[in-house]
Amino acid sequence: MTLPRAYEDQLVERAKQDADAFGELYDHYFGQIYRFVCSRLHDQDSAEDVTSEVFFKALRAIGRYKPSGHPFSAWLYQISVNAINDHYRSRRPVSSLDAAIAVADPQRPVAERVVDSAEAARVWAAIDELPAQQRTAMTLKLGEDLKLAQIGRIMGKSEGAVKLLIHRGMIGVRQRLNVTAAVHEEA
Amino acid sequence: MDPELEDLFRDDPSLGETARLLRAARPDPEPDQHFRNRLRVQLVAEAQRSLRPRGLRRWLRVGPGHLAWAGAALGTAAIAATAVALFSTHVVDHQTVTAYSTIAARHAVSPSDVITVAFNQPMNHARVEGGLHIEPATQVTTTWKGNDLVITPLHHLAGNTPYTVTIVKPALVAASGATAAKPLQISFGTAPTPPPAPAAAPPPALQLADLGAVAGGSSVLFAPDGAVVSTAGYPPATASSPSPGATARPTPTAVSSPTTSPPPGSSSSPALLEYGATGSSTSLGPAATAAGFAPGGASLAAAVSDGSGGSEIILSQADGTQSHVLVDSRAPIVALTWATGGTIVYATSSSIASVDLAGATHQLATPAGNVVELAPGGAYAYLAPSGGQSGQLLDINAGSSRALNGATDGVAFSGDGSTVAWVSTAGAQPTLVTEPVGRDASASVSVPDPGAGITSLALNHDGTAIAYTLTPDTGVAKLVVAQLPSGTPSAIGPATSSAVFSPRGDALALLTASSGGMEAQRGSIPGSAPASTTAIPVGANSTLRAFVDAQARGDSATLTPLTASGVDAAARTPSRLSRSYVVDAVVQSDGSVKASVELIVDPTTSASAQIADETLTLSTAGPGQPYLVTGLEVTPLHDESSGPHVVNVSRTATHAGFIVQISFDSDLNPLTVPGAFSVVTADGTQLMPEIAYNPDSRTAVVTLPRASTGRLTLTVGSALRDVNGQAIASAFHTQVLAG
Repeated sequence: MTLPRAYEDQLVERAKQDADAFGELYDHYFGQIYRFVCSRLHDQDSAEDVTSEVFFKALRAIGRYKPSGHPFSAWLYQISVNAINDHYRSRRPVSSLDAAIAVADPQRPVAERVVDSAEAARVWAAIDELPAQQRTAMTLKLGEDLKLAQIGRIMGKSEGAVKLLIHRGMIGVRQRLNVTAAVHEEA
Repeated sequence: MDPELEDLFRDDPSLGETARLLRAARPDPEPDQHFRNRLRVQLVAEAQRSLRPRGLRRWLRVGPGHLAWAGAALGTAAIAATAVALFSTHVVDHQTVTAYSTIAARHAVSPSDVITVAFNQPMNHARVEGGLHIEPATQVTTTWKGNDLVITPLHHLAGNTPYTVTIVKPALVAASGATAAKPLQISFGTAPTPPPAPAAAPPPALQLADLGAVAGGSSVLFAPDGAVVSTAGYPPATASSPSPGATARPTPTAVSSPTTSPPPGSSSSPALLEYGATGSSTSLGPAATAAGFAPGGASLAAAVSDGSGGSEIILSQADGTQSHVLVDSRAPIVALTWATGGTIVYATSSSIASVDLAGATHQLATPAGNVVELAPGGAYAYLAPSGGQSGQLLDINAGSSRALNGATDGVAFSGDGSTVAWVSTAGAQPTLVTEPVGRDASASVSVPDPGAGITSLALNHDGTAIAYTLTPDTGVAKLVVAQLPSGTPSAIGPATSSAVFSPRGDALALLTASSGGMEAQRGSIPGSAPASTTAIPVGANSTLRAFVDAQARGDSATLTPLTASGVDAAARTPSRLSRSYVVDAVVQSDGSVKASVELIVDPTTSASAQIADETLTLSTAGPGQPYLVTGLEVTPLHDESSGPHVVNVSRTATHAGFIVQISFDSDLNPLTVPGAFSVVTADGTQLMPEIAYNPDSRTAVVTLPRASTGRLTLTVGSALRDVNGQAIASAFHTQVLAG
């Protein structure tokens, strides 16, 4: 549920001094942040670790938070993106495109395979093969429904640059899925 | 689809399609609630230290207790290096009691949920339980699971209600003797489930009337005049045909759905058949796979086989005359509904489109799943489960969908399209679940025989009653009609393969198995005939509900067309509302409807619930014109008073007399109920009604003598007490037009 902006601003101000207010912010945003982190890491233990890190970092930094015209969640996503990048720098991702396509039925068109939710989760892993900036933009847009402007704020890019990242990312996903499916068909 | 994505991929539809499907199938991981609780407790404990003036320096200090707590929190599994580094900088001790509940600050908790309070250490159970207080007053049982206190309401939580759970500070004592810095206060609100409407007596049997044999695959619906219609009924050899002047249309020779043979004495071909009150039947056209009457009832749309694998939508007058083909679809049409008086929404298994009365079609969606059913009004569709996943509810306009947890079979929509019901098989035994279509806030409905199979669901017009067939492991299957959200049975009947409520909710159309095949029946629900003198017109009720829901959402775009010019509803509606509900609605002598509404801001940890009392007047310019809000009076927001509050009033004429049901948000002291109610006539004569209290739905049932007539005043006085001994804040009065 989206908090009314005026209420959220008041809540954030209180959370700078009031632990319960911070707890209320956590209650509202835990689900979103956990889902975003999990969709990028695909591993429960890692997702829990990084989600913990995000909220502890937010607690540490909330005194310096200033409203920017974007929802408070944009700030949390920004911390999440950095935490996920740190995580990737320290280890390789668990999922890979090979694992994703290994279970996909090459006889079916891409769109049809995607609608099968069991496969969809694995097809989503194709996003992990994209360059880091593309996969971040793709996940924030397709996984979290954020506005392009918010994604730009989170990634420190212009709205136009975000559009370009998503467009290229989508082409990359389509190419990867089609190429791999074709390889399977030939085999 | 997301408009930004639509715009981004406008020049490359295949990329747009891939984006849309990826978005629809995005992962939705379920977090471990224990992890969520633990992290919450750790964060708040840390915040209590770090947010003090010298707090930041504390981040770098390592306390003696932190390793044990971090270890317990993370378990014995391999702990990621990032987590070890993270938690090793945090101080977590057991000198102070802290606690957390997953439902804190939520605004749509299921009324069937329990309240769990997670403490950071073992507690003194008796002390904690002794300091527990819930507002509105609610009887509960308590159990402990480790350090978690589980609070279970005796009669479930009330729907659409703000709650505050408090444990006073002196009671927050740990087993070690540690205490809390302040009282524990958990605030939340429950999901807006329909108001309770309990039965006053054990469920009677439906009064059944046999209508006629139907083909397999037929469904039933109600005509505007209350007659039952089957989509593939076998007309008797003498069945009447549409009136002269009807455009003759041959009955298709290949109708896919009917599978059974006609019974002796019936016509050989099934037809769209309306059953009259006298046992006669009228053919409205060829057998259909789906059919629906327009709002207002003037027109009928039916999807029929075109004989070559596809479907046609045939539009006709309600009596089947003046028919013509509106749409020819190459794929079979599986569902249709009227969105407005001039637009029909229809679906094949893979596509949803609309058509206007001139035959102009518009593609609405190509969902990622097979369409099974359309909600009345055409805003939502149910998509069949696939790949081991639950069925999906598709928001057709938004292009987004969400899983109906555990849905593996069909669903039922309320007649106003606002509520969906399904059977969840996610748990150990099937569970009957309802949910507003626009919100992910499901509520379980109790059934008489937990564990029995549940099939053939139907909801009434506004989602306040449900019908389902209950099939126990041993014994005879039966149809149960029950009130929502309590699940209290109000009638029983024979097992059905399909059931539909009449628009007024006083009858069901049923398909039952007989020795000769399938048969259509009409079942009247005893005691449910609405009081014609006080029943709110459907149009007024629809406007009222939509208006009040829009106020709660702060949706001025919806409020404006529901409001007469000169009434600035958006400006006068308090901001930041959490919820709203209609307490009472009464038809006035001039035909207008006056409604009492409560507008509520849920409590927070620092503020109590705020409430505004609103009175709305709804009027229509004339027959066929929509009801609009023509008057609005609202008080400023103020603190909600303690003690019980009236949340709903309903009136029903039954064979036993005139019944007024008054529901409360609190568990009442039943001993105080009889003396708190009084009924007087216009000339001041005191009546002696029967008064019963149903604790399951927190409802007082006031039965007026059959001889009662005229305008009566019913008063709930200050003698009424909740289970905590708190009195109703002020007397409640309502008008009843009996007789």
